[in-house]
Amino acid sequence: MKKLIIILIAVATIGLSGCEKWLDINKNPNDATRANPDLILPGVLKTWGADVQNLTQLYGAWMGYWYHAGGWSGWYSEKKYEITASYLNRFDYYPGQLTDTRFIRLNSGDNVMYPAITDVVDAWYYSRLIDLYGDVPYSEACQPELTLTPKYDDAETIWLDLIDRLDNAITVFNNAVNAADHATNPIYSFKPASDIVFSGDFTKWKQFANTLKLRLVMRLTNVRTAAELKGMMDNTVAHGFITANVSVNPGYSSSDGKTNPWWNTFGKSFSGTVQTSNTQYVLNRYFHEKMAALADPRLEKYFFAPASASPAGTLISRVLGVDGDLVTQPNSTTAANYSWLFIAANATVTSGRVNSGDGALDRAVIMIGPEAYFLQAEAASRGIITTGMTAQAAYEAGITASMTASKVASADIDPYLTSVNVAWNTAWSATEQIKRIIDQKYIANYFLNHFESFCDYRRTGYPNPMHPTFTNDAALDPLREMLSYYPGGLIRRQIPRLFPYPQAEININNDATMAAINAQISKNGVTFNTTSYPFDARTFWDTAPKTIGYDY
Amino acid sequence: MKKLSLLIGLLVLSVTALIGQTKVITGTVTSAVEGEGALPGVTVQVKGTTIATPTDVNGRYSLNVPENATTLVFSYIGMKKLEVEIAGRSVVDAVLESEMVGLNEVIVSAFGIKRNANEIGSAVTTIENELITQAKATDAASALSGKIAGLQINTVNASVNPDVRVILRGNRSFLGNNQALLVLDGIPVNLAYLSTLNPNDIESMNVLKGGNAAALYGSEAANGVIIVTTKSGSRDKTSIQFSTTTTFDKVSFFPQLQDRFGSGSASDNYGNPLYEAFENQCWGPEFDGSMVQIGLDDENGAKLIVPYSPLPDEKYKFWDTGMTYQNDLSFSSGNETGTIYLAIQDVKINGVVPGDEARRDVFRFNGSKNYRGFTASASINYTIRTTNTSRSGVYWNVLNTPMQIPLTDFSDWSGKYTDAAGNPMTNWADIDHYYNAYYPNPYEELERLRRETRRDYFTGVVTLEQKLTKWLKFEVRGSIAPNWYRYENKNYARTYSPYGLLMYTQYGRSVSRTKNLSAYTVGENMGFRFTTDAILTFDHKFNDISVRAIAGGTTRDSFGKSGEHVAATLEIDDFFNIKNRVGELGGSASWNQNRSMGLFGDITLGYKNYAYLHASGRNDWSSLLDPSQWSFFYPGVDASLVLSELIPGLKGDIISYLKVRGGVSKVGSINIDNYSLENTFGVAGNFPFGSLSAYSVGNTLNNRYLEPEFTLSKEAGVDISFLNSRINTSITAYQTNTTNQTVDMTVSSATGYTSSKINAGEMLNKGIELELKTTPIATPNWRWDFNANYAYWYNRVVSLAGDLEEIDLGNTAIYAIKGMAFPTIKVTQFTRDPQGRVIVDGTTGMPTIDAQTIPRGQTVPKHLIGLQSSLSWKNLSLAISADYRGGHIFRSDLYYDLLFTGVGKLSAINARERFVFPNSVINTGTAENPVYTPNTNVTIQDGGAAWWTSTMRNLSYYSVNSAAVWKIREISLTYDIPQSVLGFTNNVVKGLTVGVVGRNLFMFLPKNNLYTDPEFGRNTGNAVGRTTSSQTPATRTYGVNLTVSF
Repeated sequence: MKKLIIILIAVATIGLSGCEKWLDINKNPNDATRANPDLILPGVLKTWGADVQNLTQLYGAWMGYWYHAGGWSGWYSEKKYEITASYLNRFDYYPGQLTDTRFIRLNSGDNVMYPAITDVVDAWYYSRLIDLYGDVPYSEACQPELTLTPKYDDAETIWLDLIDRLDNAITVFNNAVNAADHATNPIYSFKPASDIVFSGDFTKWKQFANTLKLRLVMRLTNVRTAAELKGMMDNTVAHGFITANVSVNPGYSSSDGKTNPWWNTFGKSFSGTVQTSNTQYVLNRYFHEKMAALADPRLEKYFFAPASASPAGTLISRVLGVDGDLVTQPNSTTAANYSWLFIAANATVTSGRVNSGDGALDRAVIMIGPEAYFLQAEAASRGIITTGMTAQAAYEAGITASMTASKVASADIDPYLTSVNVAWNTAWSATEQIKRIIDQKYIANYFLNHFESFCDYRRTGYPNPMHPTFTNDAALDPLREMLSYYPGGLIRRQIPRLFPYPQAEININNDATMAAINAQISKNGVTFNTTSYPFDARTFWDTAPKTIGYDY
Repeated sequence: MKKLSLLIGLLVLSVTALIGQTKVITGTVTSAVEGEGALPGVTVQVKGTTIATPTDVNGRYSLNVPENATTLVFSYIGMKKLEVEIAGRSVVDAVLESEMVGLNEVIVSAFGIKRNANEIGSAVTTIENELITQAKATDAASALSGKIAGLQINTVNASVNPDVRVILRGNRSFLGNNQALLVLDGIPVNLAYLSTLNPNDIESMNVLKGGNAAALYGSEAANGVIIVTTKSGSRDKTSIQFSTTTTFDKVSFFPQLQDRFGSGSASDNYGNPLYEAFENQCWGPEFDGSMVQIGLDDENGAKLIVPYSPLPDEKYKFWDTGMTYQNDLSFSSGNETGTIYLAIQDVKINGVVPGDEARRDVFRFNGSKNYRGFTASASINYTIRTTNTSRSGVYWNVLNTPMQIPLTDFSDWSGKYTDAAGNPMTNWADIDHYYNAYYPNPYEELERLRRETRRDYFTGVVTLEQKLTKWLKFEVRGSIAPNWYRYENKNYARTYSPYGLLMYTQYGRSVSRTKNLSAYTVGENMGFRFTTDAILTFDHKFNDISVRAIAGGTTRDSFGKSGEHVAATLEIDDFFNIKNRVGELGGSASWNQNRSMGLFGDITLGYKNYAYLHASGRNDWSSLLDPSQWSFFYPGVDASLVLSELIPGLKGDIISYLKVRGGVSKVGSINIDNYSLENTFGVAGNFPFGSLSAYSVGNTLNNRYLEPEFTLSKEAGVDISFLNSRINTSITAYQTNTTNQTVDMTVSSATGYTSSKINAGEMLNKGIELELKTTPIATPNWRWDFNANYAYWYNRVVSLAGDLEEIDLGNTAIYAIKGMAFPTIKVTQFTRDPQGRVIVDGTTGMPTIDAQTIPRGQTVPKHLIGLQSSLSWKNLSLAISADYRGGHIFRSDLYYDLLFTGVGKLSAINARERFVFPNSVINTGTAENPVYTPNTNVTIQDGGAAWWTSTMRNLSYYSVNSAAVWKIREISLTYDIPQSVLGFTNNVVKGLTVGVVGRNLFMFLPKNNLYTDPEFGRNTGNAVGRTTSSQTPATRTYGVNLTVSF
């Protein structure tokens, strides 16, 4: 017995010493545990394009461009403006993009180019979060080693920091452009292939950062004086602005998951199946009439005329929250009678139309070129930028750029620019100039940039949600406004201005989120529910008078 | 089958010819229980006849038996019925074994160690083959439902190949595995193996509920162990058994539907619903019996006209009658030096979902041979399971069929019709003409989207045992358990005519160029588990003190790989090969491996035959942890005292047995997967693009220094038998505290991650289990056994990480919430005033949904009751098994589905009129100083589609209902054809049994459960309590069985 125990112990001891090697097999063979900024950046830039597309979709209807085709149920939340905390969760930007940009910043060593690009990316993402939600986590965000319950920061403080970070990025890009050794100096060395936006062109990055900065600065027109805003722009205005679309292309191809995200959503799948989003959206009566009043040649480039239209070529539109519910449902002959997005002509995604040709391989747009001109036009009109283009020159350049991108024949552009409702009139008041600029920006924003139109609308009140002939009596003239008055549950005659914080955050990060909600409630005198919060709560720059739109 | 019934008929006719001469047989009957000696009052009966006699005070009997009698049956309360072949003898002695828990039953414990029930200090329940196979269940897991106190079996759905979740004494781990460990012939295997077994091969199942068992099986046994021992050949006879069973499945429960409104989704200017001929939703006008068109005109302008009246049975009639054919053949033989058991089973299943099929074939070989002190045994099992099922959401599609649609008329979707003159006629069921503009014909969808699977499971166990001395034994065991799983998802191509294409394009149905192309996914998973054990057992009695000591070591190596290839589009229609793809090949592959080893010791000290002390300890090393955490130790101790032996005079006519027992143990378990210690980078969405690859920081915050979870269990119990063991009860109370849990906690997205792994939190479980086994009636002709069990489960989440209040168990509305039972469902509710009345808007009459979700209740039962009754009269026996679960709730996603489609009963309760929200109030004060005035006249704005499909459907409050259920699980009626009848076969046929069986025949649900069987779950994970329309309706099963033994 004793012998046996000794033998057993001996065997066990010998066995155990060999175990370490035997047990040490927990190295992950399936997922990478190492990466570097070169490998992270392309994913960030590609996802950026998809995120821009995602935001534009909802505001297509709310900003009066599109409406939901008949014959489909659903969209009650959108039609009724019944926006709950479960409706949207854009806090997915944090685990999605913002941890990636943080990783790049922390792992770039002495290199300054990668961090500068992440400043531009972060400025876009955080400004969108503030546009959507108001106060959001920032100073404690994406630092799980610090806290798992990040506090919310004051939106305005974040905003000013984003502008500072853009200033920093512009400086870095400018230094790189000017440095004679930028090709060899490790702090500027950069793998152009990973920059699928500008292929390592730092001049373009500088202009893009400066344009994004101008967008952020112009957002403050209601909360800062023109002189203050001019002060913010003065140090970088000389670096110039973008003149064409900023877009990304990782190498789109006609394979599953590899097509342009806009095309994949609004056009066809990789295998050629028409996507449902394509037939779900049709021309909105508001946009239709607005464009028709200007005889705008872009309209027929944006939408196609149904085959059954009489006379041929007439566009047929639907009314927000009304058609499809009050009007007789379409049947096999009337279903095609509305103007859909899809058009089988030779157009592209970036033109606001999708087609069967190169749309799948098109670059995905992050910022449209015309926006830069309209931002400059408004800044010039307000005295924020006093060098460079005049307001009129920028206004006309913006329209021209938009028309060109939409494939309007060049012969049609000049007549439009000089037409009575478009031509710049030096007699216009300051307010009238802003209205005209924003109206044209609204038209140029179609398809690619609906969310920006929504921000302009909140900030300036333009485009006016009512048709010029609007009588303020819905019963008499219900069909010409941007606002939904869906009969089943209309709460306000107003577009929701702010999203409730995501339900998941209320559940998980309860203390911090409730503190942010309570701050909003005390600031705006609203309650956190579907009836008032989305309408009365506002982000910090949204202080325009409430007479825009009107209460029910 | 026909031939067999003819045979039975002939047998019955020949009964009268079989009465012949008699002879006298004598013998003595004794008890196998130590110290009991001769048994008086035992019934000795000639099998298949009423010829019987009792034994005298000395256990002796004398009986006149017919010359052709072959077998004697010895029966006695508290003892196992014994059949002995006469084999020409005139003296037939018998030794009867105890069958009662608490008596000297032998219980198979860890590593096949046979332990006397007296020495067991924890609750153990043993189930014999008879109870598992009485209703001819096709898998052993579902046959256990309701039969063991504290065991809960949940079937994921009623498909042909259901998964099961097996829980003992509730859930201990928030996110880790809570399912019991399956130990098959001495080796731990994946619980999935339970449904690969042929239930007929199972000799017995021992369920070790407490943590005490874990010392020997290691950390995987923290949730209790189900030990399955398969049959070995009999040492004294050779037999062949053939059994055939045919059963039918019918849908037994269907959601309640409305019968007032037909198809439509929109309304006119005045809010009146409009009829829509091609709509899937059912929000149209009220039925009026008029003739209406469904679908659109065909190419020639012909219309399909139906009465505008409800057809509520169509959705029920859609489901097929399922059929299961089960055939078993087994051979058992042996002698003094060896045994052999061979069995083969074939089960073929046709499901209630039209076209769903499954098949299982099981081959088993068990054998043993002993040579002097050496014994070698092997157990080999091979199971093949194949399925061919629909992948479509067919239930959802059926529910998306308006009430006036004659759904079953559309079953022939591929047929071609011509009129009398031979001109082609429209088939209204085909893909071009089916009325529904948004959903395909469900019959077509069933055939178009298929999934074919094949699983192969192998287990091989070899045990070598050498007796070193009389009291020392050395045993080595090695086992391999590979399994292989292959699946194919096939999308068959669909081609529209130009007419169909136009129609679908206009209504937004997806079309691809001119058709839907075919697609193909093929994947394979392989798993392999290799275990080795070496055990030294010491067993000796020193006068009154017995010592059994076990020391051993074990290693386990598990590895597996999975891989999938996806051809998202195929070039040649329906040629399912990835070479035939268009575009890039999709897919994935992964490999996982983990190893563990353990050293353990276990000692049982006994004093006389009534006092026992048992202690164990084990140290594990696991590769899943960081090397600094590899090693962890856990001990256990328990004791038992048989008072009926200890206290003289206690054992008597009233109390026949009394044992008290108690124990404390600790078990460590690791609830993390391979490679969970380091943060990872995922390939960024859809990369690589050509030569450009990209990665993205993963969303899970991993933790290098994760530790094992520990469960501390305490239990105490009493086993008492009364009235000469006619009434046996067992009572156990226990408590477990599971601490240091591995929590994959959902974190705020603002942290940059979605979940984080940490060690934190504690769960408390307490419970009481009662088992009652009685034999109220026992006469030579009558016997009634009645067993009942009851379990009460109390469960609380004591703490989570830090001050964390709750953990989301994966976006299912199901949570672990501090201070509440686990898991708990949370719901959204309408905003309410302090008195709980719903606040509505003064103008619109509409309530709003509150931002805060509220806990609604627990999803595991508080009470479980199981009842089994077995009544026999001569050769006829009737067995019934029933069970109850209650005190819990579940969420049915059919609530949402039915509100979307508008066919559910709920959507018509108010005739879709506007109504004043019941018991609602209006705030007539200000937001700061609210004044709540009862609302008597402001109606909601719309009582139709907008209210039900939006407001109500956005609210989860009403989707949650009581999950209480009583089920009559099994009923079987069997008749053993008497030996006298079979005599003419010259003893070739030794037994013939015919039976009628039924399973899940009745289900009793609370009134407000309009939806489904609350037992179903989305998967076998911890987030129990949510059902969806991917679970097809519950079914009942009934059929016939015939068993012949040779």
